[in-house]
Amino acid sequence: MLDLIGPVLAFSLTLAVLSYLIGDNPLYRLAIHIFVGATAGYAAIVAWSNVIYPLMVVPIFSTETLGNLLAFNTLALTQLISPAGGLLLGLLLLLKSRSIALGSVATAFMVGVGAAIAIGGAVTGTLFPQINATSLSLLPFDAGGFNGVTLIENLIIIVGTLTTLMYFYYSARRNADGLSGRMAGLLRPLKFVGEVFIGLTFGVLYAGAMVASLALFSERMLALIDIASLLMTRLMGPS
Amino acid sequence: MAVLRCANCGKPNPDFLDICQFCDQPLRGEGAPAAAESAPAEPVEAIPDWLRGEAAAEPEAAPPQRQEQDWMWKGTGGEAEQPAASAEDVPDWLRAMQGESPAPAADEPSSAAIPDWLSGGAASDPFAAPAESAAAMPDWLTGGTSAEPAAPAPSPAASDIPDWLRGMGEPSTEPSAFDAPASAAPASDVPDWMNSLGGAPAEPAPSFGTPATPAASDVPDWMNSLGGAPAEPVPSFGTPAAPAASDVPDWMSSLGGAPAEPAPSFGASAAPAASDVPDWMSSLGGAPAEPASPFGASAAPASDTPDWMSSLGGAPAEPASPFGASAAPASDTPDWMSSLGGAPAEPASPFGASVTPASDTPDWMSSLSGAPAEPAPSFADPSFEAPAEPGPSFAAPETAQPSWMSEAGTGSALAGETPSWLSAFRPSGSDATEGALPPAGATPFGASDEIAQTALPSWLAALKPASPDSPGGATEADTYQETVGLLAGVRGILRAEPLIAMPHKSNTEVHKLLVTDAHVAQADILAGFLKEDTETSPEAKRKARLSVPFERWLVMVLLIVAVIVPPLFTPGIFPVPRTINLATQKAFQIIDKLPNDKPALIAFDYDPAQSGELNPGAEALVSHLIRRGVPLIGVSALATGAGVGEEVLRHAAEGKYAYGTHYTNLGYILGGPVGLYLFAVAPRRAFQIDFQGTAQAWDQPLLASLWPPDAGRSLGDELSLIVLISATPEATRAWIEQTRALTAKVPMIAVVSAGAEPLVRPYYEGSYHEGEQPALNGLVTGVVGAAQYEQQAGVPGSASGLWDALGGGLVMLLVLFVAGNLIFGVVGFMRRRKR
Repeated sequence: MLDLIGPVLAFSLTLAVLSYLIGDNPLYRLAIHIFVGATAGYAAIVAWSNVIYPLMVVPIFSTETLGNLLAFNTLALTQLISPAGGLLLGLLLLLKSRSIALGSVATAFMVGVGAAIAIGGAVTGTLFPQINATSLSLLPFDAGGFNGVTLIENLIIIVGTLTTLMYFYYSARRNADGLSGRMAGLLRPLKFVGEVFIGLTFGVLYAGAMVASLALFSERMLALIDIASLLMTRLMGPS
Repeated sequence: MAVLRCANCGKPNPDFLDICQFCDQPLRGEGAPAAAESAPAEPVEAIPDWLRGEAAAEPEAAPPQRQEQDWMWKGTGGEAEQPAASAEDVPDWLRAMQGESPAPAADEPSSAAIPDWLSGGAASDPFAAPAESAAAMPDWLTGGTSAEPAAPAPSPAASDIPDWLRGMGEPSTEPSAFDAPASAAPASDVPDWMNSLGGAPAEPAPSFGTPATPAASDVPDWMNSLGGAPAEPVPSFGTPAAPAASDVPDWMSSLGGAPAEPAPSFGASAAPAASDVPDWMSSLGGAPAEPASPFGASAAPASDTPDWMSSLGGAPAEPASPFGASAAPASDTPDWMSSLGGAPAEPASPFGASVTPASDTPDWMSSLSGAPAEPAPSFADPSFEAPAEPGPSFAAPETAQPSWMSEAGTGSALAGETPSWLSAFRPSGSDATEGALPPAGATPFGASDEIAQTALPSWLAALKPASPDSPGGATEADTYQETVGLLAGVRGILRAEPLIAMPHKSNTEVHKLLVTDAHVAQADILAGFLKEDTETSPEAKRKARLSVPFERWLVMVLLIVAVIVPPLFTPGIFPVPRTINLATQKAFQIIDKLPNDKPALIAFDYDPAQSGELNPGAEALVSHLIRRGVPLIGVSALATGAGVGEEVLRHAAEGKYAYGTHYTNLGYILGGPVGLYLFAVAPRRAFQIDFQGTAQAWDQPLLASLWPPDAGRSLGDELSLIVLISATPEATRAWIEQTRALTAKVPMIAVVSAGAEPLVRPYYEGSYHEGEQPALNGLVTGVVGAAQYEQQAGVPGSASGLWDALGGGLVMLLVLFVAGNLIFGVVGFMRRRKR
């Protein structure tokens, strides 16, 4: 019977979430609250057990570290500098308030390091490769000779990339009377083409989201059927 | 600058004025003096004969007016600016005191400024002021007479001058403190009380004309002290005059000062002998050791003081001087003198306001005390008749005191009336139009038609602050009642904190705007606009509609049917995919050819909510790797993803792999991109324990030989494959951006959700250049990709079980899309046509 608890809970919570069909109701709210609470609690436990305790508490209070510290061994410094620094920054972040500005040090450290890592990775991992990928040849020839399809594909990629970037250009030339004027004439049709590509991209994204949602829905429906069958089997006994 | 003397009051005025600043009479024209140096005219008829003394007989004897005025006009320019005094304004009794004062020193106040009654008047007549002293008498003493400055004021008629006063006219040979041509009056003619004023016989007389010292025999004792001892000059204002102590009553000696002590002056302290000083005069001179100056005297004993003089000296402890004043006992004081002293406790001085009996006070004396148009006082002479006309000797007839006199006496220029030129700067009163400038005639600079009056515009007048005295203003009464301490319950006490320092709002509406009807109308309009914004407009009536979400329920029912029916009732209605996606095929080929000497890293970057879509693909790849015998290392950049990965690995390795030997789950990588970068650089530093809590995770057989410490090996050096399973494009991008540089030689496969696939595909098809490797070597998209992978692998999995349900749902979605667009398109078209 204990093995039915999980399926029963899953079945109940699934139905509670699907009850949103009739509108916002307490069952739906209960299910959402349980989901959020369980997720937060699980994440907190994992963070403590897999990160904070083994990477910060254990190195500081380990016998090896304490022994080196008491022996005034310089090795203790290398063992303590990382966990102690992290612990200090964490405490400063917890004490961050209007009256205590020391917490800003930890925040500044996190933001600075994160920005550096993210920017470096974005430039080398995304921006440069995408620029490289956009620089395609419009010659209808490849290694196998004339290839019109390659030409069209390359052209579509180049045109789509450039016009999409042009769509986000919002500057306009000022008129003689000083009021805002219209943008250059050649830019407007290009912006329209970019808008088309953007629309197509959004459509594809929406379709993919629909497929993903449908897959999830299908899995849940089948899961409900399986649980219901299991419950019926257990309740009714093997027939 | 030339000076014009007013014909009316005799005061000096600058020549650029057309109207006297004291009496508001025209300076030029009929009746005005012809020149500043004009000789003083005959004494006015208002001056009684006893005051005039020998003025009529000796009109030319008056000293220069300028000298008499010096003590009063100190700093105003000296002798050259002395206005011409009107001889007719000089009382006879005063004029007589002027006597034959010598010419004053250049730097000293002119002894001619000493009045005759102080200076001793004429040689033998206390009222016979020296000729040269009469002209120097100030206007308020001389009555504004236009006497020639060089000509001495006429001495009063001898018959009119009491003996006691007659002796005070002798000038002093020494210049007085006020540059008066003082001449010591015969001591016999100078009352003691007057003698004391003059001090020593050789000392100059007070500046009010030359000191005249009447014969001592004719001078009552109380007057003797004024003049001092015979041959003792009347004390001057500022000059040391020491009358003989024996002849000087104490009360007068206090005026003139003790022997060898300086005579009473403005502020000088003198201590007369108390025994000889009547009480009423002692108040003039002050008590012993108190200053007994006519201009700042302290109290004198009141017992010996006649009433009329008591008014001069005032009550005990009050100054008893005709020039500084306090009240003297009223019993012995003639009215004219009482007017000098004024009422008890009030100054009886031409320099201070006072209240005087109105009956006997001559005008010139009343101007001393401040009461306008009062008859001149009488020195107890029954023959004295009040002048028919008020004597404007000391003040303008229309004003109680000149401004300079009132300022000196009371310290305030606002006591009494102010000259017209000054009153022009008053705030507009009842007789002025609101917002209008002062009357043009009141300008100090004459021309009334130079500055035209104007009216403030209404909008500016509306901003005029209301007067605190206006009817709308309420007085602020302090009703504070103490609540603590000994003074609890007491009202009207001083607060510990001044009221002005306490934050409060005044009840007085100082600033009150004038609101017109137009303003009210505009304000109402604005209020209406604001009210409309806050008011809720009633909803438009609409047809009654069911609140049931019919469309939502319909779509849900259709989808449920489409998902449930095929797998339950029509299994296999949707055939398995026969065509394999190229990206999925490449992923399969990579794994299928993967060596099994190095482990494969699998990143489960999705949470349980997306497990329904991604688990089929994850299970397919993990199963394939297990079939290939490739060791597996599980990680996750999400806290909940580590648990999902643990479940997938455990389910896939059940019965095939051993934990720690063939597969392991290191768990959660903290820090997002930063943690991924650390894991890529130094994997051992990113983990100390695994997801199951094994303390020495790196001691496991699978991991013991991987990334040895201090070996300097990165993530890609020990791996054969990296599989990224993520629900969002951001997770995949983070792995590619942070680790791809260090794992360029390791193939990377991504299993992504159908919704993230459009944004992840560029990493798969990122480069068409020959020789370049894209970031992703294979791509499996959602359930469809998982199903294709299983089809490729030939091992059915959970993806195949979902294929019918997914197919039914996709078909229903397609039907709903088409039908919905058609229905709502047509309906919308029909509605637009109706409009």
